[in-house]
Amino acid sequence: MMVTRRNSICFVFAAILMWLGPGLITLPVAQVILTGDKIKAIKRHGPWPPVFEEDPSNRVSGSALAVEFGRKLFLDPSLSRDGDVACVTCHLPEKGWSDGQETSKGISQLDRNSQSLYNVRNNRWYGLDGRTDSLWAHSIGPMLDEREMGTSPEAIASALAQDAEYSRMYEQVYGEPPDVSDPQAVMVNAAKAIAAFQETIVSWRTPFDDFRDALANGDMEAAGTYPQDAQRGARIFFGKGNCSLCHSGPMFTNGEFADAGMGYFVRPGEVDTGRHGGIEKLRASPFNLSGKFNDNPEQASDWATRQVALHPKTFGEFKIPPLRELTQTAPYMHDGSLATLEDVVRHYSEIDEERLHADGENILRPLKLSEQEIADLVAFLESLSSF
Amino acid sequence: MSRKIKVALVASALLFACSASATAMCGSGLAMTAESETNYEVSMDAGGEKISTGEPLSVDVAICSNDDVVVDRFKLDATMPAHGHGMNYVPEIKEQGKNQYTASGLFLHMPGKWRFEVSFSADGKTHRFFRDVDIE
Repeated sequence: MMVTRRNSICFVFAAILMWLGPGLITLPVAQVILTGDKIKAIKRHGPWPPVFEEDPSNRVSGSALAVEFGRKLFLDPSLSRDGDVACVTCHLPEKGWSDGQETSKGISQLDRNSQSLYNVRNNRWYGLDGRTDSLWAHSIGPMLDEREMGTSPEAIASALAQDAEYSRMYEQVYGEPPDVSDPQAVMVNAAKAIAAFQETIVSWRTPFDDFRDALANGDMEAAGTYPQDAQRGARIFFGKGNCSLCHSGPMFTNGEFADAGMGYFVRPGEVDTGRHGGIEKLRASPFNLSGKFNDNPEQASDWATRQVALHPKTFGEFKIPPLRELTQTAPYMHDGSLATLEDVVRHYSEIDEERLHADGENILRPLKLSEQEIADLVAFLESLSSF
Repeated sequence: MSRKIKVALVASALLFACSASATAMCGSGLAMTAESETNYEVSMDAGGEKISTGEPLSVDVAICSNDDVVVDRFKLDATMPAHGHGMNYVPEIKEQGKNQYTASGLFLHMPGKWRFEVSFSADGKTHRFFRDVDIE
């Protein structure tokens, strides 16, 4: 084999480098491709996790005894009318606390997709239509809904009073056994314990959080290790995609409602009124924060309930979902009609403006993303999940 | 008159002018712009805090005039002109004194340019003012 002079020099140079050690060999530097306003916007999407704050409307919020009592109730199907549906039926831990179905099934088939319970304590409104204003009030709904658990305050109070273990736990949490003569109060207390349990369901830190914190700390070397495709996706998310206008803050939602151009019909001749119907239900509910079951004596937390506006545009609007742990919670949208994150991105990329409210948000326009951009945006969304 | 005394007199006059001007200011916050010719000045004050998204907000509004007129039918709203929408909540208005109001429960749910709009009736006319604020 001929060894040229140039090759000899290369071998010698390589040998010297190997001898000196890898510390002298500089690999291509990982780079942060985002700048200015986008970095500023990214910083506003953290830190994570948020500090736990007790719910002032729920006097057992944060109580360890209530959490354990609530966990037991959450898992127990015997409280349902037919004894085979529990909260966990539609909120499975292994499915990101949703159920993996397009639309959920309790006692009978429902019309909406089950929402993940990750970080559920951080909401202002609950349910895809925001029909409730507290986690405990929202926990009552499925118990009483004929299509979900189909039970009643009387049945719940009776079940808790007759079961020795439940009765003991109830007394430990509330200082007295369940009073069957006031079944509504017993049911609300059960719901408050279930809410205390759900408050503990918090998602983990994600690659995005490491990226965000590195940017916040000015550690561009660490930030540069965040994958380049996710960074390109972030550039779309916080830029021309306008995604961060609605998916803002550490939860990646502003907690409000929007028309995302999805269908309104649940079956021929029947529409899902979304937020409009949700506000009507909220106002009619005896369990809203303006009512007597709010444990906050000043009821300061009920400002949104008192002041929410029933605009015509709320018809067909649905909750803007948080985006953390998305990879575990397919399918997507209020009706579960989009199977993958790529389908969701393609929906917004080609959104049908004819389906949007004329008086709604003037934000959504077809993005006409390239295949590379779609892949990048999906990579970014995946980085909001911990695994 | 010595040069030092002249300087002191000029400084005193300037101080007086400045303090008189501050007293005449309408409210302590951001001046709002009238949509058409008016004898009124309006200012809005969000408590000196930086206005941001995601938190309910209260705004104090002062309406000033050289005339001894009491205004009525006061309204305050906030919209995002570029997006074609307003707030999802109706502000609660409380009168705090003559021609002074507090609007609470405002909730700006998106970052971007918000337009605060005030209107009231006086002298048989409706007066409208606005102020644009960039919210992060």
